Amino acid sequence: MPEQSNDYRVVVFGAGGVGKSSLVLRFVKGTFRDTYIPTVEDTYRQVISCDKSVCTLQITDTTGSHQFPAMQRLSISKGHAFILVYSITSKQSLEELKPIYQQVLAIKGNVEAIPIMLVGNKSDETQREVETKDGEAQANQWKCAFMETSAKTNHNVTELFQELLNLDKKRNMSLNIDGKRSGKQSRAERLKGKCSVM
Amino acid sequence: IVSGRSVGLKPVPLQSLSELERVRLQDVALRRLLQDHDLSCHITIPKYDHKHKKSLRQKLDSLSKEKSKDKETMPQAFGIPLSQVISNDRTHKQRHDPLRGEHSDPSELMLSFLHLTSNFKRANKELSSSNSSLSSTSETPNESPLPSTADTAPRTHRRGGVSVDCITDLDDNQSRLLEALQLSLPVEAAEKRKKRQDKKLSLNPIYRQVPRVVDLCCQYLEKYGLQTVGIFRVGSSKKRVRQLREEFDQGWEVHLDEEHCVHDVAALLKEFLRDMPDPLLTRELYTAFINTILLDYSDQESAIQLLMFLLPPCNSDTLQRLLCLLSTVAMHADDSIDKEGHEITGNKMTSLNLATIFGPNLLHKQKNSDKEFVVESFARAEESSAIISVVQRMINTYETLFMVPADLQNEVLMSLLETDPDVVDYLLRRKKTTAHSQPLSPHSQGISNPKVLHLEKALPHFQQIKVMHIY
Repeated sequence: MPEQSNDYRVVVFGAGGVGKSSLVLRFVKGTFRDTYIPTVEDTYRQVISCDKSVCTLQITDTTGSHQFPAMQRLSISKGHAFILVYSITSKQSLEELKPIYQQVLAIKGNVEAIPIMLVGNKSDETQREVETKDGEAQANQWKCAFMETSAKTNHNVTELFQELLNLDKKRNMSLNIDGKRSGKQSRAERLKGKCSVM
Repeated sequence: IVSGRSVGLKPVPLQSLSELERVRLQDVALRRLLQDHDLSCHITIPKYDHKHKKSLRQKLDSLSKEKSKDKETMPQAFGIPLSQVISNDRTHKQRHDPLRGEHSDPSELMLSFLHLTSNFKRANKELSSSNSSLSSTSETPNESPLPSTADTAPRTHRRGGVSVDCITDLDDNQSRLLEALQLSLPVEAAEKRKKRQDKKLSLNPIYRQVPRVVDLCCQYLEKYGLQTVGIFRVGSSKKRVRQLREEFDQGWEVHLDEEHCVHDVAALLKEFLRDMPDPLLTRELYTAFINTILLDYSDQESAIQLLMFLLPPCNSDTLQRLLCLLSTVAMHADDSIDKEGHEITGNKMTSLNLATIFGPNLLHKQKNSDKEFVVESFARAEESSAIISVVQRMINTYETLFMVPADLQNEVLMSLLETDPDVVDYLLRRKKTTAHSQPLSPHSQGISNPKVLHLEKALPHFQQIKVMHIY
């Protein structure tokens, strides 16, 4: 069971090089780096509003390149919501999410109450290996939400996090605090249409 | 025995040292570490072997879990102690080598080897030196290993790498050679290790103790993977990796070729390292390795090297093979232009990236990756950056890391003079011969700082020895 603190913990999973860190950094810092650096594990915090109060959104960016099963299990058991990222340029990267999903299922039991977003990143790339409908089909099967994003062009990034928070029916969360919009979130007005929740 | 001989000592590859010297080097390195570096922790020489403890448990596991399956389901390569893997490889080699298929007794094996080697020697004088270099080819940086050569050459050649250097010196004393060769077997070595003072440690280099699976993966990746973007980072097919893993675990003859996927082989290599019951850099030295980053930057390299000298031979040999690959991969990280002006895509895996990925596989203190071992991620974060920086340093200094500096060799020999005076002359003579038969280019590193061990009176008891350091 997640411990009772005021944190709302989101964990980002996905294969190496699909853009987990890029998505998180785009969301948290609004920047994009065109460098190639693997992540060990990073955690970012941001204040959000939750049930007419505030709480800390804690985003854990995990490694895609070496999974110590024990650590993965630890992240899952501590997490409230999950973002499963693949790259639309790699069918393999979608494949690799399957055992992770299974692991979430195994640890959390009933995933229907757990907010999970399947994300096809790098939507700006032209060399597509995974069609949008394939991603949708996978999300259908997993009974989770789905979205395509591009951390590079900042397509659907804020929307991704807001939608994830919306999926949690037990809490009423928003990235906006007291109706005031922070700089980063002003982009949220654009591109609302691309998100489909299944 | 000549009196007044002087032998210039220059840095030599760790693997060229005899078993006796390597064991002594561990002591010398430990002493040096305690004396020169404050690593703020207790340092011990890692135990060679936690032998069979784990494998026995696995045997029980596999028996209870898979009663229906063959009794031989015990894994041969993954998740078992490194020394065990190497010993399994030997068995595998014996079984798969038609030449020696009929031999089951190790001493018989050695006899036949001895016979073959002396034949080779008679047939071609050159062969023995080329043979000995073959055993160390893959460690030489910038020189891509030649898997084809190694594969087409009769296996006896490679086995010949065990101790070819000394055959010239010893062929008039075959029984001694035989004894020496037998002592070089890792199992025997393990036993000898327990009685550290035993003078019967081999005077020959130990044959290169690198698991077959590591060697094959490294060779494959050096051939096919250097231009693969994100090698080791990008994911692999779990299914194909599992297949490969099973093939190695069943002790099959595995051939990796262009039909395999680079990312699968890369993942297999990582998996092997990750699943080792004791990590390659050992749990015992975990804190010491981590604490090297607290030292002045200029001291770190030497401290890391000394710690590396404490490792059991199979660990340091395997580390060397791995770092050879990683430094080659890092050299191909950036885009480059080939001779014909074509652009070659870089693999983007700099030494930092490689260290980020390999660090946690090489250096961790978790009991077992599969056990429920809850590690607080906050405390871990700092340590993991230390792990990465240590491993990055190893990749970057790969070329000098495995060269034993002259002053350490000197200390080893001095220490041997106290306990085994009769072997020092032999070792020195071999160093001299090796130096003559394999002249190094004057620009090669090491010659710049020679130390001279001057034997004033080389009497049987070597009591009066003057050691001069010439700078």
